[in-house]
Amino acid sequence: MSEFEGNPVKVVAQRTEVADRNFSDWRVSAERQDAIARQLKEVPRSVDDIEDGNVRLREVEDGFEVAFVLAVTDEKFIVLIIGYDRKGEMEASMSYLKRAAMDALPPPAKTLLEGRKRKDEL
Amino acid sequence: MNSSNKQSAVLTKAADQKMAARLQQAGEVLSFLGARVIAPGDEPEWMTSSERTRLPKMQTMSLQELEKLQREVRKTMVELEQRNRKEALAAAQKAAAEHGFSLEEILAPEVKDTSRASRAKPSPKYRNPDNPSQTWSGRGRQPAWFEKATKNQKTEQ
Repeated sequence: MSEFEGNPVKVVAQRTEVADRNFSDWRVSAERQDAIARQLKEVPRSVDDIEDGNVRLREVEDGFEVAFVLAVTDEKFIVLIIGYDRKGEMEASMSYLKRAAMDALPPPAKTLLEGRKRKDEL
Repeated sequence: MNSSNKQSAVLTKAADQKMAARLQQAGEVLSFLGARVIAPGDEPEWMTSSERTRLPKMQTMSLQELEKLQREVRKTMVELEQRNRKEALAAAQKAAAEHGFSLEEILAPEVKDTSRASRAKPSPKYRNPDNPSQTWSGRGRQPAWFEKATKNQKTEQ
């Protein structure tokens, strides 16, 4: 059974269409994708994760990492995989977007990138 | 300048456009699901316990954990080998059947033809000195000329 859908446990792994395309572009096998989803479900937050705003980056194999967001609904806890790319690529892009292109982003993207405001920013 | 013009003006690098698209779609999906984002630092307690935050890396595992992992790997390898063997057997049986044989027939040692006709004719060992066309290999029943000759001590060997 795929790790992405129909899992009876409350922690579920889902992915966006963009992430799906990233996996295809890098020819990541279905088994490997399932293993990544399984690891994220078992360890949603790792001390090794890079946290940038509300986006988290985790190296899942040599030289590659997934970008994901943790979220919660009334029924379940969601690990939403939003991207898969070479290590460092997504972090560099996020850094650029934050620094130079924040205003160009649509509100939902902006919120994810900004993350939680610090007390001194409120 | 509307939002999309502004975006294309700023996001000139493909990687940045890709990341913006990732973020935008993630935001849309979460909104569709009615999910609330959990910011780093706001995770529930069960998620931040030291056990839950440790990635299964061998370098951080204890000897007992490594031994357990080793046992599981060995067990999985045995299961995998058995499954591969079963698949190989099925494939071989299918291939043999396509040629009209069972696998057992192909693997059995070749059957030797032991019929009388296939046996090589033994070379003659004795010859009748009175009639060289009469010979005897020394096997089986003695021919009459041989018996007679041996009685007369005239056999030529």
